[in-house]
Amino acid sequence: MTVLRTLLLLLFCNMAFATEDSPETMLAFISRELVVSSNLRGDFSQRKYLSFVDKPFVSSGQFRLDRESGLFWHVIEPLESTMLVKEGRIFLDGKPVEDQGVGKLITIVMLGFMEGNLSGLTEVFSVSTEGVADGWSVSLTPRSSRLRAAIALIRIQGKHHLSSIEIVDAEQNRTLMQFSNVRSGSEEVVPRDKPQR
Amino acid sequence: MTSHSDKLQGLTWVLLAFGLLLLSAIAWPEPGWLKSDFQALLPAGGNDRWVEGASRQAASAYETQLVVLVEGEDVSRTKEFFESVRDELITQGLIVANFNEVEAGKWRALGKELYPYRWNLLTASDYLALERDAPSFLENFRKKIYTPLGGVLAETLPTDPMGTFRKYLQAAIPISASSTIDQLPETVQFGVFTIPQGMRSLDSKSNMYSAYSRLKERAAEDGMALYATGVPLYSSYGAQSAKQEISTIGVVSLVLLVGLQVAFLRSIAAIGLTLISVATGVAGGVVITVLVMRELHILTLVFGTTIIGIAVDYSYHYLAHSLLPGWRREKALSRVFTSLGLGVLSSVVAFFALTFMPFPGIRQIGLFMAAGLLCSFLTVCLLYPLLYRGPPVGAQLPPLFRGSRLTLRSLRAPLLIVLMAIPGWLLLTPLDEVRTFYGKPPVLGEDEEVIVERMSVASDSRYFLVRGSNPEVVLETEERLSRLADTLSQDAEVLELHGVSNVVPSSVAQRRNFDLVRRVLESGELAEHLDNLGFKRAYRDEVLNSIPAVFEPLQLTDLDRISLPSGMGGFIGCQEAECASWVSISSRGAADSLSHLLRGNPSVTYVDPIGDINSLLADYRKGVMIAMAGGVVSILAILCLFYGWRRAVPLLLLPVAACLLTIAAIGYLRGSYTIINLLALLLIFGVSMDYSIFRGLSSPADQPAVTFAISLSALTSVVAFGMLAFSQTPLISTFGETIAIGLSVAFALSWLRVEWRR
Repeated sequence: MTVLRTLLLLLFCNMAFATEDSPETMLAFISRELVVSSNLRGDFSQRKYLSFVDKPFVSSGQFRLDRESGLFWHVIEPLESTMLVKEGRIFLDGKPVEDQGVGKLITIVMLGFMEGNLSGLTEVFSVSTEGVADGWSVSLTPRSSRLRAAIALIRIQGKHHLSSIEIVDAEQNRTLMQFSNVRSGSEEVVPRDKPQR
Repeated sequence: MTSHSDKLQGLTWVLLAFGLLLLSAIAWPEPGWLKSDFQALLPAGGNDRWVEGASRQAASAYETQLVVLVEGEDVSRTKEFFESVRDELITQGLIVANFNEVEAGKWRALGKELYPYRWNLLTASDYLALERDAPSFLENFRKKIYTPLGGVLAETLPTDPMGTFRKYLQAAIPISASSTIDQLPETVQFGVFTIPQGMRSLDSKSNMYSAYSRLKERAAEDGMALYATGVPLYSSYGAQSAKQEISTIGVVSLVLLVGLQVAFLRSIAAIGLTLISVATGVAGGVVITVLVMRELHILTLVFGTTIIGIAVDYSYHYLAHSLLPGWRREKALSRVFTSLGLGVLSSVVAFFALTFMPFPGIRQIGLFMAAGLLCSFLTVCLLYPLLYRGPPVGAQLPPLFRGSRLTLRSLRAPLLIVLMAIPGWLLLTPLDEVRTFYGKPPVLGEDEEVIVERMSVASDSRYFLVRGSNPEVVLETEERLSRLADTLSQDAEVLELHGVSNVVPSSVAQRRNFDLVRRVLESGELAEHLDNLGFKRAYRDEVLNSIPAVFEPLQLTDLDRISLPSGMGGFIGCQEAECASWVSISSRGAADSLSHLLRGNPSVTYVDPIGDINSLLADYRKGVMIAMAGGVVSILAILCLFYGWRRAVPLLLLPVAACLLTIAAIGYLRGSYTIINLLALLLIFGVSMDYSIFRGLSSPADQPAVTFAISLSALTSVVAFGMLAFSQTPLISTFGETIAIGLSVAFALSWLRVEWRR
């Protein structure tokens, strides 16, 4: 049954993506597919490929998204730290982060996909979507020249949950964040007619 | 029969007019001489060149900004509508770019200029943390790199290995609405736009307000709300209402003028000459003011249209005498020349006195009126004897004006009037508040309130002026001031100062920062940090070698090529062994803290432009009162010189009484008076002096003609100025209202008989 459901979904996704729907329509479709939970948790690994270092920057840890507490990002390796994103503010090891810059935007995009709230994306990015074998893929290109000076492309993949975020900067350096073992305390699918936040 | 001297006078008029046209063809200023910004009417920053320079720099940014906010219920429809608003404003050439994009460009340019000196530039908190424990500081930075926040930080590691330069630039950004924008709901769309540099023509500016009104209506039709604010919008509104007022006042005055001529004089030549006299007055006023001042404000033109009401006095006085029995063309001018000459002399003296006022707008009005009245007077004297042959046969003064005036036989009536006036005088209190002068329609006021409330920011025109013997002293003082402000900021109270030292620290501070960075380098802590990050050896050595061995400070002159981002103060310059800068203030509930900052800092001055203008207004108000008293004494002296004090003093009674009763009326009506009321009194004094002179210097046989001329003049002037009372701009309406009251009083008083013996 699950296989059949997945195949149907994939077929439906590809049909939807094949049409000339507006980015907003396609994002609305994706946000309906995302499973939004009041308590989401999982593991992550982040790899950053840079030309001036011997090996990629690799970090790993766990995350937890809670509607009450916000996004809790716990880096375990190589240096332990905790980042909290709550009500638009970011704290690192309990201290407010003054230097937010592009990092804050990435965090907000990531949070949007975790919460199924994608409505503001088209304002900041040109959006293109495609169906892939196991879910969907969204490519975001910054609209403003200011942002393009820092980020060339953000590619996001997932199915019912976010599975990866790849950030390509203006110098073509890549950062890849992968999510695994994503689970929720009480998974709930947002009904299609439920208004988005 | 036309005499030779009449022809010569006519030729003189033609030559004068031609000379004026030729002069204006040669010396007319560049386009843009017609101003509509209210700022152009205000005095420059007192006598302080630094305040003037700072005010100019501070005003240059916000004078070109237009803020637009659209609020709806549906996210996508609101966004779509906001974009259509932006596109329409761009298509119409009313805005050029998104303000944020322009500001981002300025920050990029600033970053490029500062980059070579990045090792000298540390925020105060980074300096302290690095000095206290460099390894911990560097480890915390590495922690951040491994979070999602670290992407850009990691990429710039070869150029900014400790992340200090990036933080330095971010700390330099003043408190802005950007943080608020992030927190706005998506059903609220907000944008700051800049108007094109070349948008100076009045038509373009008027279009801005029209476009705003249209878009606001369209938003309401679509179930949304559009709010906008900004100096260009107010300026546009002012230009549009001023244009409407000029045309309305001009048309009504002219229609009234022609109507009165047709009704009473029934002479085509009289109508034509009156129109020429008035047109010469307006044209002469415009040409001479523009040639001398090199600019003309739209509000001066609004005031200028009232010249019609005064310039026509000379024409009426000349023409009214032609209705008297025994009028002869050859003797026409000599019969009225003394009263006309003395009348124009007193008016020109009164208006010319305004050119000594420090307000650019008032100076313009003074020159415009003095020059215009002189031109009208010359037209009457030079052209009328040649072209006016007299009224049609049988034309005579209407019976109403042939009656004798009221004669005051006792002092009871005047005393009663004085008693009634006393409470009015006592009620008067001075009001020196420049913000009450210029009007904004309720709709723009409401828009501004909504935007300030949604964005949680209010515009602040206050700043600190910092002086020093050289740029280094100025920068050091700014830094001391900022440190003090930081210590005064509490949880609920925020006091943030932004000056040029936020981007170019003093050499002392730069040296201290540089020495610390060198210490971290030489201790090997920086190399260890790079090793921990996994830097390739070649890159690591490149980073370490990029820190210069010798200190080279960033100078203010290094930033000469770029324009600094908005809202962060700036360096004004050096002159006569003194340098100065201005520091912008962002405060929230920290008003008391400002005075603390000035203690022990004699080289720092707190500047509140609005407050300063208000105190200047108070000074000018007192100045005008003294000038008026001086004017009365001067005119009395002139009159005494010609006629002796026994005749001179009664001549002054009418204007003085008109002014005093007008003041009492203002007291009853408003309870307060401003410099505008006093300036209007100056005009009332000038015009009522005309009435008094025409009355006093005309023989009893000529009195009916004088009554007729004064009546026509008063009717025209009171209607023209009375219409100004309905102006949308409080400054103009106050002026119009006062003059309408004053001239009505003067006209009523002119009916009272003044005893005079030959």
